[in-house]
Amino acid sequence: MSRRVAYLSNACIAQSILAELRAASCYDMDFGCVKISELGSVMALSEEEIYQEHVLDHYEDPYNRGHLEGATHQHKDDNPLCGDVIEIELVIDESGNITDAYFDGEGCCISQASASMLIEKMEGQHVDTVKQFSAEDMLELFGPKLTPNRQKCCLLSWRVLQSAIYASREGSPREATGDDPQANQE
Amino acid sequence: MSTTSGRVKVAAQDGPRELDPHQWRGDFPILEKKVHDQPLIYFDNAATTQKPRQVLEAMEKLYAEHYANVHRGIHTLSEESTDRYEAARDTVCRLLGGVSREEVIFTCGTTEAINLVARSWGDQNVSQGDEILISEMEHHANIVPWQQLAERTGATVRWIPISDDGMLDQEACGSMLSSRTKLVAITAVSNVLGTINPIKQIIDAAHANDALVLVDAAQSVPHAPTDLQSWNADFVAFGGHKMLGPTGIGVLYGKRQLLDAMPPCLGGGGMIRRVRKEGFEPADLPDKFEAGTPPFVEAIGLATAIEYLQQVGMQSIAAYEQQLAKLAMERLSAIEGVRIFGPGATDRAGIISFQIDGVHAHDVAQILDRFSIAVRAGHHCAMPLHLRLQVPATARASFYFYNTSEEVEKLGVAIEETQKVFRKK
Repeated sequence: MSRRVAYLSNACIAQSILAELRAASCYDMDFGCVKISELGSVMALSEEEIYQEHVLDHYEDPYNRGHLEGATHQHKDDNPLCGDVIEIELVIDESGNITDAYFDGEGCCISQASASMLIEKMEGQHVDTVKQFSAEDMLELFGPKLTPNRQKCCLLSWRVLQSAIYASREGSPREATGDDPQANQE
Repeated sequence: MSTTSGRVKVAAQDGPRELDPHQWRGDFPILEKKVHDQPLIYFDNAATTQKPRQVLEAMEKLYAEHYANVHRGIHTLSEESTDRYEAARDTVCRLLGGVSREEVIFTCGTTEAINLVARSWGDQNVSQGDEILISEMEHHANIVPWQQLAERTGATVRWIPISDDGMLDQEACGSMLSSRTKLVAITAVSNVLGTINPIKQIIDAAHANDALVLVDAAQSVPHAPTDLQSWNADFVAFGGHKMLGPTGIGVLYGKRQLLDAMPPCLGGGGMIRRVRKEGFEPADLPDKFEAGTPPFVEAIGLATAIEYLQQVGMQSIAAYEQQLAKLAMERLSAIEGVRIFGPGATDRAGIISFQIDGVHAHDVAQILDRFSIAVRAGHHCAMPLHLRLQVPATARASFYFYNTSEEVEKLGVAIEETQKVFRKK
């Protein structure tokens, strides 16, 4: 790898690889003209880079990905322009607590990793917590700064969850609330 | 052509010449730009191309020295603008192999050109029970106007299938043609697969069934010689910004007898001979289809772009881009986990759409951007094609003559690095 990267070597590429590669051992690699270890101070492993360790962790090893038997609430939606799909299934008890939450879907790293983060955060919470959880909160939960185009990927699961808490399944008498489903959508 | 940037170019010769991209790159200010501190590698040419300073200067010069509204003005500046606008039309006529001025309509782009045919010719000639054939590899611009026409008229849109390797099923096309077929609307080159379609054979087959043919040439006119006399197409649409020209300008070519019989699409100034309280009488071609103040500065920019391309040599461009595509296909297909869509290098223009196993196309584009490589990711305005390919999205690298083999190699390396970001622990 060292040889190949040297081909593209300059400070920027080395920096981006530094940030994007997860292996700590990369930090001391020789990138040809620039020692990558010298670049740490130029750019921190920061919000600038999307593919951070915790994002990739959620993407590759998602929390509660799959189908939920006995779900009381369910919603599925997509971002038609990029093809990302997210489905969320919930069990909401009579007092409005989300006792179980699963997601499934396909799409880019951001759409899937953010869904995993959201499910992990909201499982066990009351639906009121979900309602109060704003789009801004979602972007903050995700972490890395996103351009407006990629924010749509991140907000897909948030949007689906906001609808899911109002979308009780047929045969399931429980409704989380009678509020207007759009009331808390941004 | 304008040589204000200093360099005088050798005039184009017949036949392909060896093309050296470095001879031309200096004319493109944006190619000196750095993205993330690295020289920009611009591989999004199927979406739009960059502009040489000659085009920018021609438009600026027009605004600074000759600008006034075209047609009917008696004053000097109006004459100057009008002369240059009509000269731009002549340049387009020459590019298309010597068609007549009445057959070249300036539009705001490929999309408007196709919609013009669907609205004007379509509404007049298509009715319930008729069929319009389009292929599975069409751009939305050559799908939706026909779906809208079908909705208005009760006609049916039928889809010519493609093979798994992205070639048009010519046999199926032949058997789908019938007395019900009014029009075949087909792309000359797929904007996703790079497939070069056998336009001449399709047109011959359609004409044998008394069907007309509209060719979406948005991806072919900028990259290869175009001889409409040999094609014998009824309508041809293409845009300026994919061939070094500005946005907001495109061309509809139509056979004169067809355009003559078609009603004007937009009404307004410029498209009339006279207007009375009782009604109006349309102007002659091509004005009939150019209502309102036309994008004449953009047309002049397009003409400058065409002259520039002719200096580079359309045949040389086609040959060079095929070489780049071949090189890229070899480099990318040697990487394990990379899947390339579409035909082999011999049937392909300089467009390569691909997928990396386990990495969504948007993530590919995002990471390649960190290597200052601009590729497009998504469905490339071809959703039915992506459904046919059974992929939600692809990443697409598309070339122009200013791209280099070194840039292609860097793409290969950057793809390998992208895989490492996503490699499981």
